[in-house]
Amino acid sequence: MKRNNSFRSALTGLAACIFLFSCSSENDSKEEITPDDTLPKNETWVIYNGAANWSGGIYALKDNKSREINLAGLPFLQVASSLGGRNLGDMLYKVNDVTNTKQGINRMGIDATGKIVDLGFLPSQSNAYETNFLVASATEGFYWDKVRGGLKLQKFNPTTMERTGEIDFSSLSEGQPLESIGQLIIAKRDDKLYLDLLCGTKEGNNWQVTPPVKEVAIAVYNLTTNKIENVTRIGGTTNLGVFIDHVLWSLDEVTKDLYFATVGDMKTQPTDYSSKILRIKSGQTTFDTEFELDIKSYQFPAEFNRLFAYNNKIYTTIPSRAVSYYGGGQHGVKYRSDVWYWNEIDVATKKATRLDMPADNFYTTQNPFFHNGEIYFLSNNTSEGFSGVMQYNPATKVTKETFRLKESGRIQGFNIITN
Amino acid sequence: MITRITFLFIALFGWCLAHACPVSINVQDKNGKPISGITLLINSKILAVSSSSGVVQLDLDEGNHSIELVKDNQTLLKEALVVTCGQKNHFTYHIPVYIEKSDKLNEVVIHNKSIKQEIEESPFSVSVIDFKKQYDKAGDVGDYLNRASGVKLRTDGNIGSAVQINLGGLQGKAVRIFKDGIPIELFGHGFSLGTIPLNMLDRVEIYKGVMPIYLASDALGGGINLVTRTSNKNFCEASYELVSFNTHRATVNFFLQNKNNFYGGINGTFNYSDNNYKVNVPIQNDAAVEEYSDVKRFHDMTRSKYVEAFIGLKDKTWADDLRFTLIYSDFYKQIQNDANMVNVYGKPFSYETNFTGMVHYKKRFFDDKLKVNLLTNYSHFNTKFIDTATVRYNWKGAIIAENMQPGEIRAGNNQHLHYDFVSSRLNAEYELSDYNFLEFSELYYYQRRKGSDPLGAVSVIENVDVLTIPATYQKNNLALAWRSLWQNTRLESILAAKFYQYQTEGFTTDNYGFAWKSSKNDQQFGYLGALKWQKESTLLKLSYEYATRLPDEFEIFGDARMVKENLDLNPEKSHNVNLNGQYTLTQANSSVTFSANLFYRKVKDIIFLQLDIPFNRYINYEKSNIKGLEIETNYIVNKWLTTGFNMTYQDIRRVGIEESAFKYLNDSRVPNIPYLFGNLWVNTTFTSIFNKTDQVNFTWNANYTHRFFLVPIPKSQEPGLFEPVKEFQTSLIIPKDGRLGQFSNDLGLYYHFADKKTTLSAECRNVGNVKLYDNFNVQRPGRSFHFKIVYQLF
Repeated sequence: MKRNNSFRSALTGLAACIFLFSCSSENDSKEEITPDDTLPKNETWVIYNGAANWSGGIYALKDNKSREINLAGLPFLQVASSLGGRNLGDMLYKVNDVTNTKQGINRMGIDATGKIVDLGFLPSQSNAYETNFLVASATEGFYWDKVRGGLKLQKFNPTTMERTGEIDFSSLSEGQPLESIGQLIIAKRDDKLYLDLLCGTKEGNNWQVTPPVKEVAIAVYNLTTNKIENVTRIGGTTNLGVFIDHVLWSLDEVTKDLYFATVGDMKTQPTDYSSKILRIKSGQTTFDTEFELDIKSYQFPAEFNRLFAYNNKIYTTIPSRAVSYYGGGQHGVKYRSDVWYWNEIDVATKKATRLDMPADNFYTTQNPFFHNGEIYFLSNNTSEGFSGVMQYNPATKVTKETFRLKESGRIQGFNIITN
Repeated sequence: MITRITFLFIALFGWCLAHACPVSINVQDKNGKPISGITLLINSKILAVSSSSGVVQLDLDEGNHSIELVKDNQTLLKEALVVTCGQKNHFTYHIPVYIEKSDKLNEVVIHNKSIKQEIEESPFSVSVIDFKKQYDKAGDVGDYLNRASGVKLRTDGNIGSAVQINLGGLQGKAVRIFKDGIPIELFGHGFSLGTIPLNMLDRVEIYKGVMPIYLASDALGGGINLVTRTSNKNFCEASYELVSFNTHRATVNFFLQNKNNFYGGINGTFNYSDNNYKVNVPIQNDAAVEEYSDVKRFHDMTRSKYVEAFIGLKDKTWADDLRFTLIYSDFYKQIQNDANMVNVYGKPFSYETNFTGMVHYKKRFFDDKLKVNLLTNYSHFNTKFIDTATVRYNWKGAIIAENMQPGEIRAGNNQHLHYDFVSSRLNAEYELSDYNFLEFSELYYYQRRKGSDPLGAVSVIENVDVLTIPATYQKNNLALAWRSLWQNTRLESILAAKFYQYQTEGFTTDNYGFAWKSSKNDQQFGYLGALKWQKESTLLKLSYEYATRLPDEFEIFGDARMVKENLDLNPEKSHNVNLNGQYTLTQANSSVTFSANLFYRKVKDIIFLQLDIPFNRYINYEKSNIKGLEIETNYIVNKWLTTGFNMTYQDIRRVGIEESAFKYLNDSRVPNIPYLFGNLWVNTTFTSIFNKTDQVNFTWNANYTHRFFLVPIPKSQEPGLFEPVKEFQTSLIIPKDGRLGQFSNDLGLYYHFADKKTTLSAECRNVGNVKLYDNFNVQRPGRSFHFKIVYQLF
């Protein structure tokens, strides 16, 4: 064979390869979390973090909890959409499977080694982003599946993740092209279900249903008698709820009053049918016509997009400026700004008090929750570089930072599980 | 702009200069050194004497000639010379033992460089797949591109499904595809990587990272040029291929030319497939528990037709070649599932018809110093996208719900669109001297869309169907280059500047449902440099381009339905560097060629689809660095056995994340892009099986694609290349069944009859019936059988 002296060329190529593929100068070593001994030992924190495309992981921290958490190096369950935060005991539930391609309800838990694991999936027959659900107990759950019937509420077992039947609300049909029961609100108080009844039409490029009569309706179903007890309606607003994995109802555990948020038509944001917080008082099956919180009293145009009620106080966000989800220009950017301030609103006086915590930008949708005397709030704030959880003591009015993530993505969900 | 091009075209059209079919002859010794003073006799007439560079330029009629090289009344060589107008007639004659004033001559070796060689020896990082000897092979062009070094094609299924190309770590719109230099989208889906059989093409040119001047375009990561099959002699060939899944493919290529150099021909192809291959999918029982079973796809039928008819004149005083082409194509496709093969559909379909007219003019001026090549076309498309069903299906094809809202895929579509396209490409090269050339190229592109969709985006206030408002998009790409040859052509350099400009106008809607027109324009400069050094068996190249990809109309305006507009969108930009090396070891009947390409890309302002509810939108978001290595070895063992392999590794990583929350993804691998893949092949040739002149070929091709992840993983938790995933639980991995990679084999057997007119082929693809995925969860066909006959009538 005819040979050339190519040794030098080979060396040059090798050197180029080494240069190209050499390790980054950045330190790839995993940062150890320094546990904070003042944090409760008997609690496991479940943290959902997310990247810009909403993908991320679900992490469980028990002995390694701290006030500043770097999730790098910790085991996690990878999910394509990490919006989460619903749990029943030590079971976690979220909309859609881990790939976020299958519509339905996913169940996750913590294994013996303390890692979050995928435990089962109940698929919807519908292929749209519309599987609202409620886990009422370990054996009782409800969900909505349009393909199985818009006016039928599906029942499932949250432990076996099997469908167990359905409740037929076809008698409530108004003959509208789009009719649903429980598409955005499935609430349970005592032995009754409170479900949004939504009938209307939807233009091709609209996301929300437009009702023929500008009102909202809640159907009350008695699970003991298996009968529809009432359909209560109230005017002056439209569209109960917003996204399926972001419920806009809350049961005040102290007063047993049930609150709902409407968002109105988020496209046109009409002043006469603005976003409101409504109430069905304890023991009642009709809207409390004496009560409403109107977003116009606090900011407008805007919507109530978070809701938690505790001891006659409403905890929600109120933006510091007018906002529009559908606003022109760069869609979503202006709405998802650091403008959503957490507020406590007294249901009697309707006075809002801004809480001392970083404004949120609505990249997470989880509602606040009560645990061990404290109410926990999630915030992502780009300008302050904050992604974390704040806690507020409604008795002492003291606010403090529970933890913040350190360069670990946005926080998109948080649960506390008591071991 | 159209006026300007028309004027130029008319001017060139009337410019009648010398009648010529240019031929370039190089006379060199065995070391490649030019030999001067050699007298050239063509058809026994003395025509020229070789210059100091050993080069002779002359004009010859097309056809057979005899060439004689004479020195000191001694004939050094006498051979036949075939001149084919319309192709590069560059001939190099090597005289291995040439002794001045000697009467000894031991050996004469003649090399006529093929176009493939010429392109591959250009300073750019380029591969050429020559199909001239591949017309017996089954499948489409995509199958063969996938076997090329550094190229990864990803499909959503079988014939007619969407195909995405990854080239040098960049993919999607970053890689531009052309047919004869014209953007391929102007020819419709009937002519696409997923539908075109090899018999329609002469070759494919794959430009990695740095685009040649003649393909001036806003390509961020390179481009692929499909060169249509043509001929210089009368011929007619037909092929028919029968494939699994009720697939039928046929082609016809026909060419006639008379003595006055008037020619005409037809190239056509027809594809039909039920695409009913089996997939393993879940079907819900009454308890909503998913039970997996193998079912046949039932709504994926695809049918496409593509016919181009052309007439032309060659070798006239006023044109080297003038060709008029008319094209008709259509494409019908049923839609079986969504992009993740989760949601199943039973009714939606798309249909498209395309009419194109094209004029191609080539001419050399000023003693062949100026070469001009102009290609202009106009296309009209009608497209339908129909999704109005009110029923819903499961994977068994059974209806599971009725009286639903129209639309299985989204909220229904009854979309009819009409597109008008104008595209024009002008290439000119001027020879400043034997070693210096100026090259200019311009690509002009205009698109206008108008249509309707009563179920689509309608503005609330005026009740306007936004698709009825015309949307236009126009871009203009210019390139000017200086190409030089040094060291007796051993070294070649190119320096070029590029200019990109676009403007678009379309609809958008605000939060009150108003639809209004808005516009956007932008411009960008780019530049490139390339060097090539070649000596005997060694070829080295270094190339660099500051590349740009302009946002298109859809990225700017969206569809007013699922994707919102973003008028602040900027072009994507990238610094692309390639270092190529090739070395060949040769022996009497065997040779080994080693080639390697190191590449680097530094990309910014990557256009990224930001998912949100209810609308998504495109934003300039990411920066990434890409470092990659491609290696390939071709070993010709002997005249009946060849083998080889290639391997590509590309390390594509996010960099420069400034938002503190996302810094944990700095240096993470950009997800959902294969980063390690390769091919292995063995080809054998046996002759004289049943007859002295018949031939049998046997081929084995294997493809490997390493696993890759669907969503980003922090680098600190990234598993090693061949390690299992340990630190986290995931099913967002391709393939998600625990394999480290996907390995598939194809076998082929080809029999060439002694009459040289007929070929019979049998192939088995995916012999092991392995589950293959290019995209997450989207199952590709299992084992398939292909039978093909190619018959050359004349």
